Amino acid sequence: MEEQFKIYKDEWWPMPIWYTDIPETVVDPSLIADEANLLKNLQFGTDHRPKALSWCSHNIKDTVNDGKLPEMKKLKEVVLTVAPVISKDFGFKNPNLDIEEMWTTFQYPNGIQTPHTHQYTLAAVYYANSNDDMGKIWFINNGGSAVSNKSLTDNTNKYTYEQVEYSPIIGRLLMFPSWLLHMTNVNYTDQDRISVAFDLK
Amino acid sequence: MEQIKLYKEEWWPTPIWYTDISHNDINPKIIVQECQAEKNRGYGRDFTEFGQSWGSHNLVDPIKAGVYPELKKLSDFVENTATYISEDYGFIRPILKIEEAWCNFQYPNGMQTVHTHIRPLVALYYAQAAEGSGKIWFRPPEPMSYSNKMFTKSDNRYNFEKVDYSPIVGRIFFFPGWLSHHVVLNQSTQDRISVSFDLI
Repeated sequence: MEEQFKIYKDEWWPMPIWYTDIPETVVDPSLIADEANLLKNLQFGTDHRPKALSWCSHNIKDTVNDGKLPEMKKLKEVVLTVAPVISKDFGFKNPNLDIEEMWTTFQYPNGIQTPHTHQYTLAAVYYANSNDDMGKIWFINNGGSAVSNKSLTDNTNKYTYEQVEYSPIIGRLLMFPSWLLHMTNVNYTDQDRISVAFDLK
Repeated sequence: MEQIKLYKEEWWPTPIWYTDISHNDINPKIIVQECQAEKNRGYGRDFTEFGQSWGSHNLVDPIKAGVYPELKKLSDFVENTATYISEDYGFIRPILKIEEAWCNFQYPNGMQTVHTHIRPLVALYYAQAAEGSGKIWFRPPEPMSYSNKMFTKSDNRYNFEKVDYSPIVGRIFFFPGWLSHHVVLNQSTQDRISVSFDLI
């Protein structure tokens, strides 16, 4: 009897992750790394050792706006160009999302970032110095299905994965809703992974 | 910035499956009669004080025993379809079995408050549903629910505050047990009669 039936399926509330690979001609990742190192050398930030093997700058939004970090300014402009597209796509109330915070992160060898969410509405991360062994970013299902999926499903598809992973590819910018739980795996190399993060609202 | 191409991937959508069963295959009027027979027998719970409704006890055993042949056909359909859904969704058990089945009578002015089910898959069949007898509303899972309300316009499938479906006679819905849902007011003058299934 069931052969006569057509099963329809609607899918609601997916969690989107956007990404783009910014050409070096637009934003040069090696110059971003240089500017990040400059901030670190100036000690404009916080070293989280030994609690966490990382260093994070303070909020550099104003410094970037002042033109003191020209490549970071180019990166910021890319983020602000992409953000309205995402805002429209996702349906954020604010059509012109603005950067509230922007900071650089050095993830030292053997360092990880524990699971966390961000405040505001949209988060972004750009990779300036990284490779697959430096720690992928893991997005963890923290929706209503998470507990059930773990105990009742085989975690093999887009409905049920416990987490999805993205490689930290140099020049790639990832953007995602701030409330999406995420973490970064171990940096297995002897080099620092350098990234720039953004909180928009 | 024309050089920038933006990609998007989507994870963890909430699926809701449905199909319309031909009345020739499963007759909703007979389903109504069988539910009514169970109600007349008094084998159930009256929720008049709370939600203006009556729900039968678990009918799995009488259905298996052949007491209600049309409900048996409906149960067989549910279990057959559940096998397809289990594969689609990725449940560990390829063959889901009905653990509980019950008839619901939602009286005029009755509603069902927000709830989830404890088993992995739920099915809901409408046997009698007049115009205005109460749509089913599905709610987004947390934490989308809270954040969406604050930051988004609630105008698309990422951020709807709820999605609702009309009760159509002969239509059956399947959805994950963890999905929060409720039924709005029955504004018709007839009872809305449905049959629910919990599968594991």
